[in-house]
Amino acid sequence: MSVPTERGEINGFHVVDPDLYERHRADVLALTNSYQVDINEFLPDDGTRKRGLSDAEIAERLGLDVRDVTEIRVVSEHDQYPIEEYEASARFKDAAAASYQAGGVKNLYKGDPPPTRR
Amino acid sequence: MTEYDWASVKSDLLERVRKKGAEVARVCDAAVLEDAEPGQRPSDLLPQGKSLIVLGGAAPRAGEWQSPRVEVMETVGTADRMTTIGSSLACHIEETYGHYALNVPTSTDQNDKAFLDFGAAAVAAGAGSPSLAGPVLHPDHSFLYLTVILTSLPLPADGPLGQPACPAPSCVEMFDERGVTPCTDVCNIDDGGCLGGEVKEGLVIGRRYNKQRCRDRVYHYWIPGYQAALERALDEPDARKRKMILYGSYFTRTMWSITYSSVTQGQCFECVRVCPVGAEHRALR
Repeated sequence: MSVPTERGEINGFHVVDPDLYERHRADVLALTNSYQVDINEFLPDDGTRKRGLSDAEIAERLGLDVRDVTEIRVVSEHDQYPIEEYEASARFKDAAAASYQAGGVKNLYKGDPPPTRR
Repeated sequence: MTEYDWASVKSDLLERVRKKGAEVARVCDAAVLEDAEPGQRPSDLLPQGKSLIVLGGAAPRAGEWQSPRVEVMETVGTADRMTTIGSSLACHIEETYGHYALNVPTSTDQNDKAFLDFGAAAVAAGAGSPSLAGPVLHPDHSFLYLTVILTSLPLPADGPLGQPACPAPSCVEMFDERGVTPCTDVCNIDDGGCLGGEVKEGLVIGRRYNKQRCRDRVYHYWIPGYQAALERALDEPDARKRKMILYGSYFTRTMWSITYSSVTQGQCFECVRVCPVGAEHRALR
């Protein structure tokens, strides 16, 4: 594995190697708090609370450079869903708000968002 | 050196921000957030910091909640109003009491992370409690925008709320009947949404939250959506199709949001829209 200074300054700023990104994105995401399951809220403060790791802590655990970990995390957090998901989010909000206004909590929107704008 | 009565100083500060528009003003000891991950601890921001003053307010208007156009809520972000009050308070602390005061930035740092966990600060100070929906909820006011001032003033701490806002009694009943609450029903993590969890004996347990999905639903017309649309445009080899993407409604709407930043970027809000906490404030004539 090359060091960041050898491969990372290719555009004048640090860019993670795509192969390194693909190899480690799942591991890095799992160690952050991106997908949170009982991370801390509602849990007793007796040591059972779990927080996401910092980039430096993840780097140490995975044996990576901390700058690479930061880039892998940031890119993967934005790379989780394709553009179609963003369009679907807009349509979800249309439908969710409309269903609540039409019938309250007993009429909440279910299912896939409608394919076209209202 | 002037000796202050810190309880009186605290009363003066909190009364001041309430007059400026803060609905909630509470204090916690900065040390209680020192178990956050390195880089997001109060001491990382201001080593001399002793107290966190948490302000909540600038909630969306009832009329905005009521609008049948979801874009009204989506585009009315009023977090900057709380930031302004926070800046004013920090200035007052330094000029009046000669102590450091830092209005914690509401943006992200160079690693795309928050400078401080505002939600954790709000919970520790009793400005609200955690919710299944995600945002910290105040028992009376429900969702509020937050700002946090970190100061070297040794103010008496308020501590967390004795009775959490979530789950509301009606949500406990609903979960017992149907296995969901309003928020986990409308945005269910097992049905393409962000939220999951259970209510047992009146307490939330096993909460699940998909932050990436939530980001998509909040920011689909903002920076993440812009990056995704730009990637698609750059990948499109047909110049005519590429033009349709770049000049089309999605990309254009995204650019409007980015260029007007926070004043046009609200939130998804659908989990809070259905929440019974504070619903009386959202139902007028």
